[in-house]
Amino acid sequence: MLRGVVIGVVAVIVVVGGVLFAQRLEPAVRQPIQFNHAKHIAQGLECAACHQYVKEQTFAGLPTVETCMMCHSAPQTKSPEEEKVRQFAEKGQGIPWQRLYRMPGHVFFSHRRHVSVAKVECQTCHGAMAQATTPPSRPLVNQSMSWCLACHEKRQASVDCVACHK
Amino acid sequence: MAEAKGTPRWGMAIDLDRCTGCQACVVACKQENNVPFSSPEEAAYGREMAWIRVMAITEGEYPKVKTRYLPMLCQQCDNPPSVKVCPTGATYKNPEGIVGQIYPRCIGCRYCANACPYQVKDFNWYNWSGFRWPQEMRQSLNPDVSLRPRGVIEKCTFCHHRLQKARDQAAIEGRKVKSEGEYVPACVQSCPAQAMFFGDLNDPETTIAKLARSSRAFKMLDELGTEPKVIYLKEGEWSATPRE
Repeated sequence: MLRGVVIGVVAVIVVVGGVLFAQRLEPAVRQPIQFNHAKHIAQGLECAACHQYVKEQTFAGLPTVETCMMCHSAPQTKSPEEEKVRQFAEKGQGIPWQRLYRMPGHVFFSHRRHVSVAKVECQTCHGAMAQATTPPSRPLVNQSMSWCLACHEKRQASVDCVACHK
Repeated sequence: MAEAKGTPRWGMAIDLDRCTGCQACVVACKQENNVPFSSPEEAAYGREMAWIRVMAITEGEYPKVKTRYLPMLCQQCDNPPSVKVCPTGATYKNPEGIVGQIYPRCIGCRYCANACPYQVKDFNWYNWSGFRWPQEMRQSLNPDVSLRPRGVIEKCTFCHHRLQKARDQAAIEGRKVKSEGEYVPACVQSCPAQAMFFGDLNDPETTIAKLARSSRAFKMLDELGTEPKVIYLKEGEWSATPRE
C-alpha cells in the first residue's frame, strides 16, 4: 500500500517536473557558422545587406552562400569560422542556417509592413543582435502576443484580430 | 478606379446568368486557402470541406429539365448570426465588414456552424496541420494562410491575406487600397465566365455598388435580416453586367 503511494507520488513528480522542464527549455539553436554580427555591422554593413528580403517580403531571408562569397571568396581573416563559408561554397551547398525566431502557424507577420511601411527599427523586435559576437542560441526578445499588442497600441497600429491572425 | 474614401466595405456580386457551374472558383479557393480534401467515405459522413461550393439545383421533369448553378460562400453578413452565438469571440466582424475566424481562439463548439443559415462554416474533423497533407502537396501550400488544426471551424475570409498584401503595397506608395480591382479574392479572379465581381460597396462608382442597386440584385435568405455582402443577380436577363 505505502509502496504504491510512494511510486505514485514519484511518478506524478517526474511527469509534472518533466512537462515544466520541457516548456522552459526550448531546443537551443546551433548555427553552422559562429557568425559575428557585431564585426559585420562594424564594417558598415546594414542588416538588409545579408537579410535581403526584409524590405520587400513578409520574410527577411537568411543569407545565401553566394552573398557571403561576395566578400569572403578570398580570406579576410585567419578565422576557421570564415573558412567554413568557402567549404560550403566548394561543396555547392547553401549554408544550413537555423531559424531563431518562429512565428506560430496562425500568425501572419510581414517584415515589409513593419520595416518599409511602419519604419520599425530591427532592434525593436530582435534586440541587441547587432552587438552579438556569437549567434545566440535563443531569441533575444521573448515575442508574445501581449508584447506585439503593447507596441501596436502605442503606435496606434491595427489591433484587429485578422490583421495578424491567418 | 479611385482609392477608397472612408473605411471600405468589401462585397461580392455573383451573376447567376453567367455562372456555368464549372467549379473553377471552388478549385481556386481550395488551392488558395489550403482547404483540405476528403475521401468519399469522409464526405459521406458530411465531413467534406469547401469554403465555396457550387450548388446545383435541378428543376422540372424529363424531358424538360433545367439545372441552375449557385455558388455559395460565406455571405460576410453585416448582421452575422454566427458571431452572436460564438462563446469565445473567435468569430467576429472586423471594421471592414469581413467576418473573421480566429483559429487559436476557436474551441470547436460548432454553435456558429449551426447558427449560419447558409451552412458555409466547416468543422475540421482531421488533423490536417499535422502529417495528413501528403508530402508531395506540401510545396503547394499557401504560406499566407494557416493550416487549421483539428477541432476548429473554418470559413471563407474573402481572401483576407490578399487584402493585407494589397494594403502593404498601397501603404508603400502612400495611398489607400483601390476600391476595385486591386484586391480580389481567388474565386473572383479565377472565374472564366466573369460571373463574379468584387469591390468596395461604400464607393458608389464601383461595378459592384452599381450591380447592388440593379433590379436583378437579391440577397440570399434576405428575410432573415442577416444583411449579406454577397449579392446575387438573378437569371433571365442577358448581358445586364458589363463584359470586358
